[in-house]
Amino acid sequence: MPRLLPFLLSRGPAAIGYMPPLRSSRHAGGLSWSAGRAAGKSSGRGQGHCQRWFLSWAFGAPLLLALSAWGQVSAVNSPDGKPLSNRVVAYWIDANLNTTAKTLDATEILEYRNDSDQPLSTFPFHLYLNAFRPQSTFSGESHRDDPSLSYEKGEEGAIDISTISAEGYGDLTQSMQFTAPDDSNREDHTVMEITLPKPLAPGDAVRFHLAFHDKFPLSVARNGYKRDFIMGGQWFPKIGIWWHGAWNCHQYHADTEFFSDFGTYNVDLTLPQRYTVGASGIQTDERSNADGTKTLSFRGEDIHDFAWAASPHFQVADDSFENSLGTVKLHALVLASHAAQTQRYLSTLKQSMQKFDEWYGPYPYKQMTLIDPEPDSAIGGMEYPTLITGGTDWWSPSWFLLGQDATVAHEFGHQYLYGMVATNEFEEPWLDEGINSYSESKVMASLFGVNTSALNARTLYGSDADAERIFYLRHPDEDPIARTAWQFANGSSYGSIIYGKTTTALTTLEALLGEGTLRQALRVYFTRYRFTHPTATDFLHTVEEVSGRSDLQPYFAQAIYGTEMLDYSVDSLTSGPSEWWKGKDANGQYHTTVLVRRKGGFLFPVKLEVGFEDGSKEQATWDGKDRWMRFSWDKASRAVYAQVDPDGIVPLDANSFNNSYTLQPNRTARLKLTNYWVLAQQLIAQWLSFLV
Amino acid sequence: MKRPLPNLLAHGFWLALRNWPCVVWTYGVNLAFGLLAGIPFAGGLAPYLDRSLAAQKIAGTIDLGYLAELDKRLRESNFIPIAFQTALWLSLLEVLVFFVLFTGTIFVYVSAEPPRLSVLLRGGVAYFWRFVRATCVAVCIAGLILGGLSAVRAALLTRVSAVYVERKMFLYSVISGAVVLLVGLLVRLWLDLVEVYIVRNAVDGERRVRNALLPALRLLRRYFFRTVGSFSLTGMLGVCALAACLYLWKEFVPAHQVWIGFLLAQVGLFLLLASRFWQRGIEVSLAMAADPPIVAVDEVVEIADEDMPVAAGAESLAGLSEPTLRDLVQKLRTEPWANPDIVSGSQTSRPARPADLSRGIEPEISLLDRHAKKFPLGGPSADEEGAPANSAERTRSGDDQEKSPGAGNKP
Repeated sequence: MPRLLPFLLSRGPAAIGYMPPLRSSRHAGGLSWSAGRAAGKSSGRGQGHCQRWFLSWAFGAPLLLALSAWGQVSAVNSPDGKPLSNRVVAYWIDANLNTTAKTLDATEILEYRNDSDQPLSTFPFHLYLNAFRPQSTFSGESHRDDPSLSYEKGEEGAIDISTISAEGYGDLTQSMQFTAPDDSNREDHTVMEITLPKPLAPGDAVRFHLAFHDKFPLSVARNGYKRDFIMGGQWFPKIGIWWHGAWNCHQYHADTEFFSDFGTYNVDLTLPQRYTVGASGIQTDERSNADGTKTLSFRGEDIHDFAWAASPHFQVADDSFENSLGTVKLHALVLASHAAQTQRYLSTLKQSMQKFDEWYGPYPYKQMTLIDPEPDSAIGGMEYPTLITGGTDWWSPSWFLLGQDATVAHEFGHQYLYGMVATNEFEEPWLDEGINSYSESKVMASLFGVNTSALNARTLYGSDADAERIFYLRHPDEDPIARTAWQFANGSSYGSIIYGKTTTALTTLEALLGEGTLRQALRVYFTRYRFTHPTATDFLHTVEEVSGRSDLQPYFAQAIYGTEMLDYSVDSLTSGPSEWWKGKDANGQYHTTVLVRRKGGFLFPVKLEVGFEDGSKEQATWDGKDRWMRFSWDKASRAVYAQVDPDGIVPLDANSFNNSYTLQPNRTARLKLTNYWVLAQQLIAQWLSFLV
Repeated sequence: MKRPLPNLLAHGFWLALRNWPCVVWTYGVNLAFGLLAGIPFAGGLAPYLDRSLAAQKIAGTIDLGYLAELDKRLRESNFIPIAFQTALWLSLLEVLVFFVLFTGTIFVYVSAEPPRLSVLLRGGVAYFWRFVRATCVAVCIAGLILGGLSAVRAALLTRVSAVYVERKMFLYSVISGAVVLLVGLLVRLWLDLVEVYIVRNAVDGERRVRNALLPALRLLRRYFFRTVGSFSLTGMLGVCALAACLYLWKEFVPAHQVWIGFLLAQVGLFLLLASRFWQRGIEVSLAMAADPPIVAVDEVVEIADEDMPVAAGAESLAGLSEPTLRDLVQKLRTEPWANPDIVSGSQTSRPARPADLSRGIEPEISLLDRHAKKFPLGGPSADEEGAPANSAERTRSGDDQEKSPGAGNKP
């Protein structure tokens, strides 16, 4: 947006971005922009704004409309200049942040277009900040998993809508009512519903006007404040999504994330001068105010959420990334205490963008903002459209990659799998978190080495994929992957299955399809469903289609929809003279027998390899359907070992240690660990004796 | 009055070196308990590792993924809790044995008895309960001091964390933690000196633990920097020695060379333990040089002249001494330090009659004399410097014996 415009219009509509007439002629002309810059004072409740609005509109609107065609700053690198998504919603939010009280007062204008084929009269809204109260379902579920959870005074969060109206429908404040579609908890207050006096026809749009007040919680679930850092995530009333013939507006649960329509966001944020802000979209303007504050304007397009972070300790570091759609600005806001990690942040971000660009497709937004969250806060590692929060420590060693680097790779991956392929995180969380974790493991492996992508120290190493597998092994059979997020046994199982098992299951799928085929399937899936809301069926059908395999259903049924364990073991290995009755080495031939057993209920074809003393190897495959299978060889050499999955391409196998058997024991590993144990015991005893 | 002291580091080291069996026996116990804990641990690992190719991922440079999976497998088998409990109980038992051995070591250091295991154990058992009482007192005092300091530190860090983060917060945390640690070390050092004083006071017939508390504190205060400096330096040397061994192990020993790693680790542990004995040597040198006991033989004779029963067990004392010192022990067999059981048996009991007073008794034989004879401490002798601090006080104010720890408590 040209800087001339706000000067001319002086806090008119353009101050929060151009707000066009309603897309339905029936409701046009009802524009009642309640400027309310100091929303804390007026809360946008209409008092004293009519005159200002009239002046702004009378003098500014014609100019604004004239300039809008060229003056509108686009936040995306659209190849043809057209919107990338079906923009169902458009938000204009004018917010005033009180950084002392950690509160925010704002006015919001929401234009919603009925994109369905039926009239709509009720409209649900998410009020996520109300989750951070002890009465909420979020807190109840969190307390179930962690009984130590408590809210001290001032730590709770809340969002309160003081007024809501709709152009052409009048004041709807009285029709507001809280609903609890998931668990009937009337005290939840994370979903609010209003009813229009008359339905909104298909294709028509309605413009809601809201005034609301936020109380940010002490950092929890990637939200709230810590010291003077404030994370504005899920901070405004956000309308639910009409999806598959019904409203989809779930309560906020302990383990759920979000689901919304694509649209545009124009946000003005007023806050003290000393603060630096990073937000979704791009910054279009910055104005200093007489009261020592400043107002920052942001615009986001083809995104389904808007978040910001503010801190007086941010240091700005910018870079750029070129892709086939143009230049992407990399905008890192790193805390002064983490200044040494700035280049590492940017480097990992840039390399991750390169990998996703190569593998899946271009990142179409003009900016990618990376926020370094406040230390000791619960704000790190979160994705929002075009904005991510990382996480690091001042001492973070370069050989530990699972922290800062993996977080950046993961959260950036969400720009594809959540940001653009906007799946339902409430109902099918594995489609974003799971597939993205798999992508993360691939990106990390390509950047830092297959075996060292998580940890690369002198005496220890580990891969990102292995870390996900260990995560999976915590609760391998507690819940199926395909399950709504709030119905998992607990938060630990949710994390284990959604992140760990999905990654491991997709890595195992590579064994059936090949890594290249699965990557191509993911590329097609992304290209086909970006800026839409696909389901698990869409993903699985894409995999089947791209791979040309019609026999994957049994695997999907077990891995995605089932809870059976995959575990094959070498039960026994014997290798002795073939003519045993003649005594030792009777004829130089040895009979080798291997008994392989399926210990879990998960059926999967396995490969068996047997190594012999002369260096030769024998391999066999087994469909794995029976409970056990015996394999035999007669050779002139005695067997040394037998191993199922010798290539290690079936990480879903829950027990690696029973996958092989050697005839001669090797005690090195045992003695090595025992040495550590003895050393620790001796050291502790010496230490204790020093104490007393 | 400050007494000139010998080189504490050198004499402490010399004392520990001359009594090397004390370190060796204690290390032997440490190793034995470690191996005892290791045997079931190794046994529990065997089914998973000995015949699995996956163990190769652990035998060399460790693949953390496999190690974590092994941990899960072990937890499923209830092996980990059993191994931890075994190690815990063994550690507690080991600490108890250590307590006896360290007590015996102080006895050996102070009394110049031969550092045989039997002497260590007998000395340790003899003084065991007194050391336990002293430890209880120290734990209470440490709890009060360190508890208060920790609370202050926590409050301070809470306030600081509202403003400072990361590196600055870390520095605040480390520095404040170091202060608490330093105070804790001072308490430990004071307890060490108390333990020395318990044995040393026994020479003067003082068996009450409480009368060792203040002299130890005074001694610590009087020679604060030398004592704390020597104590800290030897402790750091021990820790550095262990760290150096572990570093050598990690940097230069191939991952699969288990036995070399084991030997290096054990060398490090031995050196760490030896540094503790060095510290004890320093403390004994300090106490015995700065505040040596005086055995008032005339009083012994006087008491012996009374018709008191000979304490049981006195006959076995000969076994505590080297042949060259046997006469001396015979002569001073009534000394409480030589047979504390006699004194601790009853508040009213008197020391045993000297077995052979007719063989002649030197007018004044101090434990320091014996000590100095066997392990010359250097510096001026008690004769040159006059009576030790608390003994001098006793001499100066014979009516005020209660104020002079280590004096006026003759049986």
